Amino acid sequence: MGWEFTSDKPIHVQLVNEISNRIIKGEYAPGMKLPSVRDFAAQASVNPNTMQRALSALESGGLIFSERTTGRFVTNNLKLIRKAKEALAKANVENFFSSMAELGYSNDDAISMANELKR
Amino acid sequence: MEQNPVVFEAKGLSKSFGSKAALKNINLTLYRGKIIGLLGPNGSGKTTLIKLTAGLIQPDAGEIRINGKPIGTESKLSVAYLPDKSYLNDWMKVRELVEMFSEFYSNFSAERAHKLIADLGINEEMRLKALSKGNQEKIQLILVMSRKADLYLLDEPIGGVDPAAREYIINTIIGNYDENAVVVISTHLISDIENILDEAIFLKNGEISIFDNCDRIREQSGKSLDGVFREVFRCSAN
Amino acid sequence: MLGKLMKYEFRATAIYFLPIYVVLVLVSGLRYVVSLISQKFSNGFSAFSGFSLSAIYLLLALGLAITTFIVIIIRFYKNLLGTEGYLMFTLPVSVEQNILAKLIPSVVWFFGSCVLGMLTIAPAMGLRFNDNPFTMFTGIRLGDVPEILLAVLMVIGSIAGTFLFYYLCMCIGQMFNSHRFLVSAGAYIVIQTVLQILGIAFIWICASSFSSQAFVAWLSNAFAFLDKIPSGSLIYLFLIAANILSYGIAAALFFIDSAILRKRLNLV
Repeated sequence: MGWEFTSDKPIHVQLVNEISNRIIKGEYAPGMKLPSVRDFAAQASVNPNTMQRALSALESGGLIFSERTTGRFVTNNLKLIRKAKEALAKANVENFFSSMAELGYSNDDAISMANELKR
Repeated sequence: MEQNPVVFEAKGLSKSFGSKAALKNINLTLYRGKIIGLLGPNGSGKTTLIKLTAGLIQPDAGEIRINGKPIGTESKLSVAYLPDKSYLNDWMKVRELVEMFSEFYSNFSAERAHKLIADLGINEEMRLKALSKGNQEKIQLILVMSRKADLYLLDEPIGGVDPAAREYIINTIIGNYDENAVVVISTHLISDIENILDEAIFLKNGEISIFDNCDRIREQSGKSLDGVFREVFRCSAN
Repeated sequence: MLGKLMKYEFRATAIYFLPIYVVLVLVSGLRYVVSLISQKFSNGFSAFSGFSLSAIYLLLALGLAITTFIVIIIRFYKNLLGTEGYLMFTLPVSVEQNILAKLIPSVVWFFGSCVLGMLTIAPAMGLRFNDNPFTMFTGIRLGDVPEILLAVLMVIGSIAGTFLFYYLCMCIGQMFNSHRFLVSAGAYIVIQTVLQILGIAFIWICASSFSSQAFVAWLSNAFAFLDKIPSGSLIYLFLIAANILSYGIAAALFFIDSAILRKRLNLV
């Protein structure tokens, strides 16, 4: 099947997140050549224009770069990938705290609960 | 809406069958480089609009122009049409069908067709009628998508097929259509193709009730296209 | 494009005609051999087998005639006006080319069936023509060839006209959204009846006009030029007029058929 999408966010935003995730996890290795927009769109079962938009966004973020004739590649800049990874981790933690807050837990309570679960 | 060249233009288009009006005064302009969903329940006029564009039926009033020219021999070369039924001579071998398409359509790529058929693992020496129903439909799709057309008219390409076949069909469309063309996909199964559409036309009882960019429809309604579809057609019979 | 369309049309129709042609020739040849044998050793068996082969030939010939008729109608109805028409009318070819691609092979098959029948019927009936089945053609003098060619041309024209008339009936039928074959048959009957009535009316008017002295005088005056033409050339005049008539009718029908399919095509 194509990639999974939810209907609460625009597809191009979800594509940016999904591709970043794959780069961060190493599924798309640094320096790896990415499929053409069309093939990539077909893989994800999305509109090529939407994929183009997502790839442009990733390009301006630096996670991928394009070479005029040969196509698009995952960045070789490991520092940048690490940064993106940290940003994602941070966002996850923030998410965790905000959803705990919705349940009425303070940040400290949330941390101690997380510590307990770890043991 | 855009300044891309116009591929398809319908003006004051009406068509009825007996006393039943299938299309009522349709005005529609489609620009290059878009994948467009022609959405509506059965009987809303989707197939009628597509058949009028393919030149298989004639309008009662109004006209259609493809690249500025009326429907005729020339427009038929620029339109790649996939009917909602099997229209090929099923006693022909797959290889002969590919040959036939490349003989008649100067914009047909036999090379691409051979590759797509090989990818499916279908033996080209088989007669079409010896293939499974699903593979017959895929061959038909491959023949249509191997043409470099200005307008692709795909009538219910994903109707009544299983999810795996649906994915194959959608990917074949995305992977092969000409980027400068207009692709019109008619369906009543919105959620399956929602993500591949640039624009959506909602047909209701032979009239266009919504025609807009999909992102804009989603933004303004705060719903998925499928959600909007359900809302628009809630009152209709099905 | 017409050539390509005809190639596929011939391929699609040959599967019906060629097998019958082959069997027809075989039966006729076998019957000829039997008649040669029975010349030497005449007995009940050779007489019986000869009779059976002649009967089989006649049944086959009848089958061929019916097949020709049905195939001509079905090909037009199914390949152009049925679901296969979805392909034929979305190919980048003109309506005229689509009609001609049906008409020309139909005339060829019809003509082929007639010629084959003429060549095989004598031997198949046990006639030996001095042991040469082709003697029937040796009576033809070289001087008759132009007349024969003109006559053949006229026959082809009227065959084409007949088929185009069948096409017209189906073109009318396809304009309706249901009962299309029934409407086609109805159109055939109605048009035929109207033509018959017009023909009878014409004859009746002529007949009653002949009782008028003035009309007869006018007529003989109008056609006085025929007397000046040498009698040997009269046959040419007649054949040429007949050709003009048959091709004129065929052209008119072709024009109407293509106009309907261009402006009123209605594939369901």
